[in-house]
Amino acid sequence: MQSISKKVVLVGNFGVGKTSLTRRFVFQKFADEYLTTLGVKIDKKIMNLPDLEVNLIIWDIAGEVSQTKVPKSYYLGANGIIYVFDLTRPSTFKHISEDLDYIKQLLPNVPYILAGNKKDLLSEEELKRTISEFPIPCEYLTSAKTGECVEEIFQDLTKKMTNR
Amino acid sequence: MEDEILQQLKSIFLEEETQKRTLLEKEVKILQNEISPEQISLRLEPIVNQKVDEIKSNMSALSGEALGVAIRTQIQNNKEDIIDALYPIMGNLIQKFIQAELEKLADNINKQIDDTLSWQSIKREFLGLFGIKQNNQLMTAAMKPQIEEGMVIYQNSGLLIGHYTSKGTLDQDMIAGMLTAIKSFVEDAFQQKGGNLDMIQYGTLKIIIQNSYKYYTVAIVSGAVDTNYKLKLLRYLDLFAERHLSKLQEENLSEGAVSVLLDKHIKEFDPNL
Repeated sequence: MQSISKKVVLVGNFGVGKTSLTRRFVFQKFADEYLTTLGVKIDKKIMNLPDLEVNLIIWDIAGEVSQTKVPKSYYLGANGIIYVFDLTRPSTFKHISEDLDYIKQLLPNVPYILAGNKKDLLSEEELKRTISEFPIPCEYLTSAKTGECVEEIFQDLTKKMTNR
Repeated sequence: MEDEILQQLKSIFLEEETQKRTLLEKEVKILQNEISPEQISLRLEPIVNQKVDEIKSNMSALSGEALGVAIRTQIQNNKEDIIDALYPIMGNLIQKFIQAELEKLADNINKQIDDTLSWQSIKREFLGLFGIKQNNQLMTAAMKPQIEEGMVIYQNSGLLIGHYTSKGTLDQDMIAGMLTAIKSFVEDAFQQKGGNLDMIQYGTLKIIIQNSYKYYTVAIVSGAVDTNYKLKLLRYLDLFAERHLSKLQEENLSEGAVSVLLDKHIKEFDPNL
């Protein structure tokens, strides 16, 4: 089977759960304590598509209030982006449009996925209210704690990156 | 009338008790005064202070002996545990120190060889007859540099496109990513025109980086790396880039093919591998 490597970059404000999502996806684990990421953390997981083995190199970048503060070089050569925000903190999804414009300008034609994380912390009603506040539609509502939709976001991105 | 008589009788029969009671009351008052917190603290303070001063001045004498005995006993009873605990710290420190000293020594020897005149060369040969040169050679051989890992990495993405390993213990994909992040960070932070990170030292390992246009090659070397070795290795990595990486895109080489080329190139550089 053919094997290829793809660089995936996780971006989003601090404390939105980028590291927890990666940890859940790579190690199937979740920890309640919050440890801030310093600089960048790199993990790896192999995704198997029907006729292709994709070696995902995941760059979990330390969160910044504004994504423009992340060193540009960390985005270079990325094949896919996952933009993570916290469903319980509107300030983390207020600037999605601007942040995405910036990323698209840096990485034209690179697929991206929006993931609203920490779904487990909201009730049905709160969730409905929060969704109505999104500046742009969000494809995935995830929970690193329960594992909901975590595998799916990486699988979907892998398909987009490999045009499958 | 009856009351008066009763009072008089009381005072006659109970006179002694009344006096005793008055005396007791006085004594209680005096005692109460003496055991008040203020009085106790007034009396105890000088005693406590004196004891504290005594302990302070005799601390080493009082505890030193006991501690010494305890440490000696611990070492005697658990020699292996103590060695296990100290070795990772002391062993690495000693190894690193010896390596740094050997590198300095090797650099000095190289410098002397470069600067030398012919009669000095004869002198060196002469000293060699007495085993001096041989000792140096043995020391250098003991810490001979060895390439442990080699990698070819995309400058931008940090993705690995070829690798060589002598042990196969590292996850080279993750190392390649991390090295790229560190390299990008340093180069972004200092923004020196034309500046490139070309070496990282970690413990006794040296990570030597040769940059080319789109890729960079990395060699992780153990042992004593002197300036001559580093320059020679950098030139060799550059040669690899020239020979193979320049036409990588046109030939569309797979990771496996690049790894084979790198393995061959590194073994050409150091036939002992």
